[in-house]
Formats: sequence, structure tokens, C-alpha cells
Amino acid sequence: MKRLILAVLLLVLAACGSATTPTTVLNSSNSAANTLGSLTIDGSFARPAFAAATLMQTPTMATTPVSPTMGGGMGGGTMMGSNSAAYMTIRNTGAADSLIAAATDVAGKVELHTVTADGEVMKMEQVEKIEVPANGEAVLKPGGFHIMLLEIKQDLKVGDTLDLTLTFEKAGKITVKVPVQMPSAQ
Amino acid sequence: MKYAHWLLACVLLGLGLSLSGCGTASYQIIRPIENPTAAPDFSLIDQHGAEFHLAEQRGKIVILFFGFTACPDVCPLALGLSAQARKQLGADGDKVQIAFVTVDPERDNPATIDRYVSLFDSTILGLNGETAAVEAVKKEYGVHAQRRELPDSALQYTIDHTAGLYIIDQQGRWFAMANHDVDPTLLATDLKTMLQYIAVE
Repeated sequence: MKRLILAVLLLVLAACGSATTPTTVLNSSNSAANTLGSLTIDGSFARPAFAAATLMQTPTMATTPVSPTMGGGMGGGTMMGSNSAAYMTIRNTGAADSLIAAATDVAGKVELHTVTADGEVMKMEQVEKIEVPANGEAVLKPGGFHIMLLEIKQDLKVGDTLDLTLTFEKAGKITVKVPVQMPSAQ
Repeated sequence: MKYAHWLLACVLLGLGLSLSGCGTASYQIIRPIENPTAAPDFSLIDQHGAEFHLAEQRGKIVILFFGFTACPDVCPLALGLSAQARKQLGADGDKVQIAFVTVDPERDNPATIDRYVSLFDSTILGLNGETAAVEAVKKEYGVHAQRRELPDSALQYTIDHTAGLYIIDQQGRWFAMANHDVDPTLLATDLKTMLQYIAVE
């Protein structure tokens, strides 16, 4: 009898404690790894984004009141779409190399960026290259190095896939398939 | 007979403990503020042209985030994770309002903001307003947002900004902060705890 009481109590207490185990949501990676010489690219994904062109056709824009000091993004200059960012892990079994450029048909411009934290303030910086150390890896992930896709030409929705061509200083070019996914914690 | 009584007592005790949630609320990932006080009230305009008055959100948890739509990395992470946490609450998700305040009024307009937040969750309200009104909100919440030119980038400029999530409880108190890269499941757990423990006035 006592054992039963004890068992019930233990069960209840166990349920009360921190029953929540941190579950890390892993980004689903491409099943087929992409290899170029000693480099392997996997776990790639890109953020959803909308195209600048579709924005111009949004009918609500004409009817939404915009005061002169509010949302001045309408006047002149380049029409901004939303931007996207692509992430991946680049593994290297050989000598040091660097990612120096990337290109895709769905973006007018592609740049390499990183994010640094200054306390709670996040700062984005453009970088010339992303180094892939010898027998090491470069991890492009949210809140760090990313391939920024600007001037998006078509909506990028979850489930879409884009072709991204990466240029490495030594290894040359490789085109990888990058699925569009919702942002997730690392 | 005696056995049945004991069993009943055990079940009742167990139920009581489970319901009381073992006394005090504990949080997994959000950082509660000691002795929380009323969150600074403000009024801005959402992407649909409607007024968003913080005081009118009483009864709901408000997750407030400051960012800009050209932001490709940090802001989507914050909004995406918040949206996922809200989704995990199921029907209780209606008790959580995610609000995004632009710190880039020069580029962001209602249409852009609408398209942007809809990428993550169409219930997210994207807020903008007269420059002075937005500046006042930023100041009240201690938001640092600094435009910085990116001469070599097609982006032209970026905005360095505070990336934390401001969590305002159902009583309108500035209850907690959370990082922009929290695990959505843990955030959902904490939101559930808030809904359970914080009485709606």
C-alpha cells in the first residue's frame, strides 16, 4: 500500500518538475549531399520572402493612407522587396578555401553577410568572403554568416527550392538546391 | 474497502498537486522582470490602417518586437519563432498577439510590412506611425536603433537594433524579455505558464 502511495506521489512530482526537455529543432537538410572537390555542402535552407514586383501590384497600396512622414519607402529609388538569406554548412576535408560569391536566378543581387551581437543590439555586416578552414567547416546559420539574397524576383514560399551557385576561391563553382523553410532555432 | 480509500486519496492528492502546478510558476526561456510594472502605453497604426493601442490588448499576452522588413536574418528568426510558439498553443494562440514595430520608417510602408509579417503569421500586426510616435515608443522601451550605411551593399543601409522580444502580460505589465533566437517549443511552454498563472483582470 505504502509503495503505491509513494509511486503515485513520485509520478506526480516528476510531472511537476521541469518535464519539458529542450527540443532543438533541426533544420531538415537536403538528402543528397553536394560535393565539390574536398568541400561538401549540406543542411542548406533559405528564408521565405516576397518579390518586389508583386509588391508593386498590391492593390491595397493605393487605398492605404500613407502620411508623408510614415512609410516613405514608396517614393523614388528602388522598390524594396523583402530579402532572403540562405544558410548551410560547408565541410572541408582538404586545404583552406573561401566562399567568395554566390548567385541565383531568383535574386537580383547576392551578398555575403554576417551578424554580430553588441549586447542586445544585432549588427549586420557585409563580408568579402567566408573562410572554410582546412579540415574544418564553415557554418552559415541564423544570427551569423549568411548569404543574403536581395531584389527577390519571385515569391519564395515554404516548400519551394532555389538553385544557388556558390563560388569558392580555389574549388570553383557548384550549384546546390536550397529548400525554402521557416526560420528555426539552431 | 480500505484499499479503495487509499487509492482515492492518492488520486485526489495527485490531482491537487497537478492543478496547483506545484505552487509557483517557473519559466524555461523567458527572463521575467522582477516586480513588473505597467508597460509604457502607446498608439501606432497597423498594416491594415487600424489603430493599435497597447492598453486595448489587456487580456492578451503581447510579444513586441522591433525590426525592419529589409532585415533578412535576425528579424525573420524572431518573428518566425514567435509565430511557431503561438501556433503550438493551439486555440490559446488567440490569447497571444505578436506585434512588430518598424525601426525603418523610411523604407517600410503598410504594404511592405503586410507582405513581410504575412510570411510568418498573418495575425502578426506590423506597426508604424508618425516618426515622432515611433521614436517615443523606442525610447520608452529602451530600443537602440541606429542606421548605418553599407556603401558596398545593394541594401544601401542597415539598422543596428535591439533584437530582444518584449513580453507584455495579460494585465498590461512589462513582464519579461526573451532572446530573438529562443526555442519556439520552450517559448510556447512559458506562454502557457503565463496564461495559467497570470490572472486576467
